[in-house]
Formats: sequence, structure tokens, C-alpha cells
Amino acid sequence: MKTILLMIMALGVGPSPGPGDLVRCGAGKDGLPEFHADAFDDYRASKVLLEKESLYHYIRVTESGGVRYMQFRRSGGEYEESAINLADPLSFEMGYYGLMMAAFAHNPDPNSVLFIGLGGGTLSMAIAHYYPDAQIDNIELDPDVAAAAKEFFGLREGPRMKVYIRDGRVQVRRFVREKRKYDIIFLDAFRGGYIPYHLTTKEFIESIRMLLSPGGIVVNNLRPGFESYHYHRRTLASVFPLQWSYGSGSNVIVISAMGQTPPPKDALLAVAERIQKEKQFTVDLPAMIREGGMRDDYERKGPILTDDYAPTDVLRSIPRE
Amino acid sequence: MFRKIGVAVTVFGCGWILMGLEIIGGRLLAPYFGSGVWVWGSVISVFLAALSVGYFLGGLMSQRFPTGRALASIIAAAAIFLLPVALWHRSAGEWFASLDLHERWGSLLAATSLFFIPSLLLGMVSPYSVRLIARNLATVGTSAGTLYAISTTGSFLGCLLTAFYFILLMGIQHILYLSAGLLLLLAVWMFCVWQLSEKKE
Repeated sequence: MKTILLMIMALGVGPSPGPGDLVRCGAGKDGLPEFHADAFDDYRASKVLLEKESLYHYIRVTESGGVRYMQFRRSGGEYEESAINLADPLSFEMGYYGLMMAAFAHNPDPNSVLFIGLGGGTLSMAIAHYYPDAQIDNIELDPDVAAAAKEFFGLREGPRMKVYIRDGRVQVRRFVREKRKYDIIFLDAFRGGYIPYHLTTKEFIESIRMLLSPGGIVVNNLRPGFESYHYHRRTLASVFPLQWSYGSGSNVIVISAMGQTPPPKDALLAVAERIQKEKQFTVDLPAMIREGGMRDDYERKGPILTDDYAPTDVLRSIPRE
Repeated sequence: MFRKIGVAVTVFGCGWILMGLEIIGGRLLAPYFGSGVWVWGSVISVFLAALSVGYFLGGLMSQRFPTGRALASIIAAAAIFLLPVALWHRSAGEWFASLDLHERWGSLLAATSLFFIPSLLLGMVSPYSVRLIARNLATVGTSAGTLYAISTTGSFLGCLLTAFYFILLMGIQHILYLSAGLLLLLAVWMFCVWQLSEKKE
């Protein structure tokens, strides 16, 4: 039945791709990207700081109401990849940044953090602020995205904040060979609304696991509105025995870890409360931990994504309620 | 006429598989070198270089061995050289990635070693088939034009359908085995067509 559905979708007969994270120029109520039909009216109210066709993207940096946005254009839509509030960079303009902070209830004192997919680098810089002693490495494919992050989003490289300009898969392979270890790895590489397929497969997730220090966690930003979400979750679950999920809007943050027995929720909550008091995050970490957890929020039975078979291009266009 | 149709089917099938392989090429190298412009640039360049050599050698060989049996063996050779690709492309990819070259040169080297010989052999098919069909100087242009049109139509369909549907429906491993199998069938087909048409004459 699945195969038939896939085939129909592949033939292009099914519903057209959902608007997903097609965006206008301002954050929605919950800060989550959503589609606005009057997108182009909004653009008029905003200032365009950069428009550039790079090797990989058509990049736009705009500013409106004291917030800067980085967008990639694909199929005639603008996909918001990053946003920063200029007056208060720690108050996350994009809802999923806040959700990603759930990582710190699972791993409250990281020494090393890896980002795959830099965008504006807003979250990297925020984490550098909260954890000044942590080593933060970022992998970004597009040199022009990194340049825009530095020019417009306040990203600063230094001995503890490094940006590696290379394909995520290729750089991860190098890090594995160098036997690097990270306490938290954020997987947030999007190319205008979708994750490139070679960063979704079981083989890739296995190489990510090899980069984890003992007790390390992997944080994925996924979009639950599409069939692909369930494939991503199953693929993660095929490598990591433990999974938590946070958020229920257009982005769900999935935290994966090794180990047999998950820490009890009370313990996570206690850590969240301690670290919230200590760091004064702009998001309510304990509330997030209370709401999310080891939820049963994906279809556990079904195929996974591999280097051989990863029809992500079709799956991400199949909407799911 | 029988021979013409037989040869036309062969060039159509070979054109199809050639471009299917090219599309697979980019997908196959992505885990090792990413899916950026370099990988696609490498794959397309390698195929074009191999085709240039293949056209030239195919023309030369068709002069010396102007038989369908020779063409059938070229196609069979392409199928045989595709087998190691299907069996070992993963370990080859790992090895080339471990050389730690820049993605440009790594992907170019990997694409060359995986696809140069099969696509060279497939490139020999078109000039060869012109030689097999051509009867006299006056119509050789028409024969060549028709065969190139048929071959490129095959390429067009192979490219489009592989990219749009086959990768998504069956995965690259199956497509590689299927391509090798189909090439072998085409070789057998070409051999039979030639034997039968020779008997008729």
C-alpha cells in the first residue's frame, strides 16, 4: 500500500507540496514559520540587506521590525532559515531554536558542541554566550551563508567558535577519522525547506553516533507535517535506542541518545530547573521538558532511509495530518 | 529493415542506460563527496570524456570489424564492467573519500574509476551502429541522423525516468543490477539480430 502511494506521489498525481515552512517576513504568533498569501506585501515593508545567488542557494537577508531574517528561495517560495532579534539576540525569533534548548536538560554542561547547518549562526552564538568555555564547531556547506552570518547576524569566529565550510557528510567523515567527540550534535541542515538526502540516511546517522562522547546526544530539527518525518524518526531509532521529542507545531525537536535505561522524567525536570536558574534562558526549559518527552508520536513500523534508498524528495511532499 | 529495427532497439537501450547511469552517478557519490556542484560536474565531465573516446574508438573498430557480433561483444563488455561498480561502489567510495582530497578531485577520481570504462564502451555503440546500417554514401547522413536521434531519445527517457521515478521507487543498487542485466540482454539481442539478418541476405 505504501509503495503504491509512493508511486502515485512520484507520478505527481497526489496533493501538491504543502506550503510547510514557506514564509513571509515576520515571525508568526508562536514564532514558527507559516505561509502567508500576502508574502510580497510584507516584503515591501522590510529592508533587503542582501540578495545573492550562491553556489547552492538564492540567499536573501531582510530586516523588518528590528528582526533580521535569512531566507533561501526555492520553487518560487522563500524559506526562512534563520532569524535574529537585533536588540535581544538571546530571545529566539524562531520557535524551534527555543525548542532546541531542550538539549540542555539532557546534557546540561557540554564541553563540545557541533552544529551541522549554520544558517545565521544565531543558536551557535547563543550557546557560546551561555557556555563560554565550550568548544563550538559549525559545519556549513555554503561559504556565502557563512559570510552572511558574519556580516548580518553577528557570528564571530574564534578559538572556541569554528566554522568549517564543507558538505556535512564529508566533514563528519573527517571528524570521525580525527576521532573527535562532541557532547551535543545539532543536525539542522536545510536547503530551502528540506534536508539533503545524504544527511538523512542510516549510514550518516551512524557516523554521527561515532562522534558522540559517552552520554552525548543528537538533536534533530524535523517537520512533522510530512510523510518524511516518520522515515526520519524510524531511521534515528534504528541507530539510537533512546528518543525524546519536544514541540508540536510545524517543527519537532528530536533528541536521541545511546543507552538502555532512560533517565526518569523527574530527573530531567530537576536538571532543567537547575540549569534554567543558573543560565536564565529566555525560554522556559522546565515547561518544555514537562510537555515533551518519550512520546509515541511517529509510526514505528515502516521502511528507513539508507544511502541506497532514500526517496526523501517524494516523502517530503506527502502531507500528513 | 529487420536489421535496422534491431540496431535501433540496441542504440535506444544503450542510450537509455548510459544516461540512467549518469544520474545514478551523482546520487552514488553524494555520501562521500556531498551533493554539491562538484559532484555533478565530475560525473558529467567523466561521462563526456568517456563518450568522446568511445565515439572515436567505436568508429575505428567498426571499420576493422564491421559485424553485429563485434557490437554485441562491446555491449556485453559494458555489462561486465558495470558489475564491479554495482558490487563495490560503496567500498570504492569509502576508499576515495579516505584519500582526503578536495571534493572536486576526490569526486572526479571516483567518478572516473567507476564510470569511465562502462560509458566509454557505451559511447562506441552509436558510430558502430551507423557502420552496420549504412548501405551507401548517399544515405549515410540519414542513417547516422536517425540513429543519433533514437539513441538520444533513449538517453532522454533514461535520464528523466531515472531521476524522477526509478531512484525513488527502487534505490540505486537495484538500478545498477538492472542496467547490467539489460545490457547483457541487449548484447544477446544484437547478436541474434545480426545472425538472423546475415542468414536472410
